Amino acid sequence: MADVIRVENLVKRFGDFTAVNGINISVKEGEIFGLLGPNGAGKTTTINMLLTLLTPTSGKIIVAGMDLAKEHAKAKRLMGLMTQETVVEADLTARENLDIFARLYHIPPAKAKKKIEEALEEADLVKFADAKSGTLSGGMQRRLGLVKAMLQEPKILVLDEPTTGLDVQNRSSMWARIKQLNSNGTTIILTTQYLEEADQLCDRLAIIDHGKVIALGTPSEIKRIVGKGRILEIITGQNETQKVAMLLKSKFGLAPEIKGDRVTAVLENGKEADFTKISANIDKEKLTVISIGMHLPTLDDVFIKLTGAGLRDSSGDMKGGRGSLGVHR
Amino acid sequence: MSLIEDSLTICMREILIFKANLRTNFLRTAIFPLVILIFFSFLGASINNIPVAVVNYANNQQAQEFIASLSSQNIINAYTYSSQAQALSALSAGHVNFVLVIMPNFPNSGTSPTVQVYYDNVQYSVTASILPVIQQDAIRFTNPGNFQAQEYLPSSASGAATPYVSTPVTGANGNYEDFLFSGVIGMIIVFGAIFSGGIAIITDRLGGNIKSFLITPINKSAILLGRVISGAIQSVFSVIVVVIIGLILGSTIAMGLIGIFWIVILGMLLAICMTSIAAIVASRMKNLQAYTIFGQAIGLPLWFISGGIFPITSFPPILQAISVFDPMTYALNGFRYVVLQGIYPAASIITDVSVLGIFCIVTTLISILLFKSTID
Repeated sequence: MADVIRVENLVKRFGDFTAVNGINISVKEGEIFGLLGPNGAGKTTTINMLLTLLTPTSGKIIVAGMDLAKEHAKAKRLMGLMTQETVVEADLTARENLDIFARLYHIPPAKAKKKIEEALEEADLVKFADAKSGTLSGGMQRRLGLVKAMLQEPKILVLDEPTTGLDVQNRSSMWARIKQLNSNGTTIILTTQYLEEADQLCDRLAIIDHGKVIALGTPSEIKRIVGKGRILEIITGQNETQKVAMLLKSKFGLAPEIKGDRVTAVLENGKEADFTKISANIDKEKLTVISIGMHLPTLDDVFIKLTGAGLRDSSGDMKGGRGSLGVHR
Repeated sequence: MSLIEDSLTICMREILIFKANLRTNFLRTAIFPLVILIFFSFLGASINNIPVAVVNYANNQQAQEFIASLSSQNIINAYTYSSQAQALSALSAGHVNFVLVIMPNFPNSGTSPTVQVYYDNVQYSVTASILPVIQQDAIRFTNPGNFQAQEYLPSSASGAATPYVSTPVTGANGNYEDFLFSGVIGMIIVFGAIFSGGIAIITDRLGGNIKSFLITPINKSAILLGRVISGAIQSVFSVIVVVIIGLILGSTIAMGLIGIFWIVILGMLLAICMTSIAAIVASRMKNLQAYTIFGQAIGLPLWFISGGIFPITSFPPILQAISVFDPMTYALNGFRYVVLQGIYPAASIITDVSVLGIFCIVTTLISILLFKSTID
C-alpha cells in the first residue's frame, strides 16, 4: 500500500522549547495510525503541522503526494479533524453545527442538506437535531463531532484524543465507529494517551516522548520490546524495593527493574510457575508487599520500559501514575 | 467571490450564537442605559427653582406676561435687576445661572434680538434643561429668530462683558437627559463591539473553534470580515434596545423615525470600526482578563473624548483636538442633531458619514493585515 502521509525530519520550536524534535513517520493508505504519548510529548503539535495550522520550523510533510509547504490548500481538502478541545459549538444546535461546516467546506446546498440528514442519522442524533449541542451528553457531542469531521468526505481523518474524557461505554462505541469509518476506506490518524486505545484500534503506532519517536511498529511488535513472556509486578511497601529486587535476582535469576515503589521483571515463557514460589518467598522473608501480580505485556509496560515512567506522569514525578492508567489486566 | 460567501457563513454563525444567547445579550445591552439614564440624569437632573436674573428694558404688558409665565412654573425663580451689567456680575458671582435680557423692542419682531439669554456653562445639565424652557415661553411672544442664547465668558482683563455669540438653541426638548441618551447609544455600540466581539475572538481561539475554521478551505480574512459584518448587525439590535429604553424613560428623538434610521446607519459604521479594532487586539491576546482591562481602558476614554457625557465645546483645547481622531465623535455628532435638534443638516451628514466611512475602511484593512488567525 502507498504512503498517504510522509513526515520527514519534522521539527517545531517555540522559542527555546523544542516541541517536535525530528519526527519521521509514514502512514499507509487505509490504516489506522496511532500517535501515543503523554501530555506535552508533541503529538498535538505534530497534528497541527499536518493540518497546516502550524508551520514547521524545518522538515517536510507530504500528503497524498503533495508537499504541504507548497500545496497546502489542496491537501487540506483531503483531511478532516476532530479535536480534543472542541468537538462542537455548544451554542448551536446539532443541525446548525453541521450546516455551518457544510458551508465552510463549500458543499453545494442541495447536497449539503442531504449529507446533514445522513450525518444526523449516522450519529443517532435525529431526535436531538434541534437541541443546543451544549446540552447534549459527552458521548452525543463526540458522535456529532465525528460526523461533522466526516462531512466533506475526507480521505484522511485526524482524531486528536477522540475519547479523552469519555466513559467506558461511550469509549467503546466510539472505537466501533472509528473502525467502521476505517473499513469504509478512510485512513485514520489518531493521537491518544490511552495505551489500551492504541492497542485496540491501531494497525501501527508511534510512541512519542519529548518530541521524538521512541518506538514505531504494530502493537504486537512494540509489545515485544518488553520481551517474551509475562510481566511480574510487585508493589512494595516501606521502602523495601531493594530487598524485593535482591530476592528476585538472587533466588530466581530475574533482572528486576525498580520504578518508584514498584518492582517489575519479565518471567519468560515456561517460567510462569515461579510466580507462586516468588510469592511464597516474599512471605517467608516477611517483606511488606502491597500487591503482587502477573500479566501479558501491555503498551503500558512498553512505555515504562522506554521512558522510565508511567504514561500519564512521565513528564512529572515518577510516583502515582499507576492507578490512573486503566490498562492493568 | 468565495471571500464574501465565507464571510457571510462566519457572520451567520455569529448571529446564530448571538440568537442562542439572546437573553444574555439583551440584558448586557439594556443594563448600561438603564443604570446610566436613571442614575445620572433621571434622578440627578430634577431641576427646580433655578435663579434667573431678569432685566426688563421693555417694561410693557407683554414683557410682564412673559415674566409671569416663566415664574408660573416652579422651575425658574426670577430676580429683577435694573441693568444688564448688574445682572451679568451676579452671573459671574454665581448668584444666578442665567441672565434674561428683555430688549426695549420686545416683542416686536425686527432683525435685532428681542430676548437675549446669557448663561455660564458650569452646570451643563442645568443650561441644557432650562434654556429650552425659557425659549418655549419666549417664542410665544416673539419671533423665534429674535431669541438669542449666548454663553457668558467674563473677560478677566477688562471686566467688561464680551458675550460669546452662539447659534440659537433650536429643537424639541433639548435637555440633559436627551443629551446623555444620545451619548449612551454610542457607548453601547462601542462597548458591545469591544466586549462581545473581542471576547468571542479570544474564547473561540482558546476553545479551538478558530482551529476548526482554519482546517476548512475558507479564506482566513473571512474569519475577521464575518465578525465585522455580524458586529454591524448586532449594533442594530443594541440601538433598538437602547432607543426603546430611552423612550420609556422619557427621552425623545426630535427627528422621529427618520432619526432612528440615521442612528442605525451611524451606529453600524461605528460598530464596524470598533469591531475591527477589537479584533486586532483580541487576536493577539490569550488572557481574557487582560483583554477586559484593555477594553475598559480604551472604551471609556473614547466615550468621554467623543462628548458622551459632556459637550465637546466645554472641553479644554487639547481634548477637543484629540476628539477629532475618535470615530465615536462623528457618530455622536449625528446622534445629537437627530435627538436634540430634530434636523440633520446635509453638510453634517456628509462629514459624519464620510469620516466614519474612512475610519471603517482603514480599520478594517489594518485588521485584515494584522489579524492573527494562527493558533499558537
